[in-house]
Amino acid sequence: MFAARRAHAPGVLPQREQLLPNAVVGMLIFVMCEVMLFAGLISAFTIVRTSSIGAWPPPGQPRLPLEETAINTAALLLSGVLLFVAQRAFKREPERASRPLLWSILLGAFFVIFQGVEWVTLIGEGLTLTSSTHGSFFYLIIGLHALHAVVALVVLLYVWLRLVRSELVPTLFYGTQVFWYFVVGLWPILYLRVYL
Amino acid sequence: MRAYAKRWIPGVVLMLGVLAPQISEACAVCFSGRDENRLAFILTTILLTALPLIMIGGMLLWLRRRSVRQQLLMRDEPARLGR
Repeated sequence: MFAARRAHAPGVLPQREQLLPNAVVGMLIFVMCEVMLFAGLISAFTIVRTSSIGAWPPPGQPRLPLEETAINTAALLLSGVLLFVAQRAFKREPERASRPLLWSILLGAFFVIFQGVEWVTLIGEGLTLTSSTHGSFFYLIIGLHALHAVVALVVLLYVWLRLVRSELVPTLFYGTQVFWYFVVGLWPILYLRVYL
Repeated sequence: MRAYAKRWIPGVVLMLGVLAPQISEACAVCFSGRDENRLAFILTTILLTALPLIMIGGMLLWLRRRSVRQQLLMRDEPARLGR
């Protein structure tokens, strides 16, 4: 994925290539920390949920929209696939990566906007940060994921602009890609854990 | 006699307690009598313990595989180039 082999002069031993770009290693370490953050939150949510007596969500609290969020989940997963397509195209012909990358960003933006609309509806129905532990955990976990998605989208947009201007450094693209895959890969776990 | 008994009573109670062990829910946060909750504690403890090890181990293994593959490529390169 990241290999870039260099030709070497005759008689000179080939120089050992860098295994991974520094940007990717840094991003992987950062993502590991983020994984632990979300694992802690999911664990706390699981403990609170199993210790609650009676039904979950607590009585008087609205049910989370499963079907609508399933569509949103599909959009986010498709965004991840399109980013992969963009990366493959970038390796062969960088100019051809622009379109799948843009679609990936648009689908990610759709996900965030759709979630915003969902939140407005839920707040209207009485699910707030202080209405119950259900509401607190929902906004904390899902909100933190949304924050990650927004940051990743801003960086992806920057990557796209650099790509269109033919100024994109591959390591920037690869590092951002790792972060977006984390955002995409985490979401189905949150959906299964928090929504179902 | 009463002072002598007072000294021994706590010891006898402690011994009886040891002989009849029961689950003591001293910390409501860390333990619950509900099976579902207890299972959740065990599973999340396993998750939080194993996850960093799996991630770091997985990354090191992946890097090792990449390194071995790169070394093989470098070893074969002179032969491939006809030197």
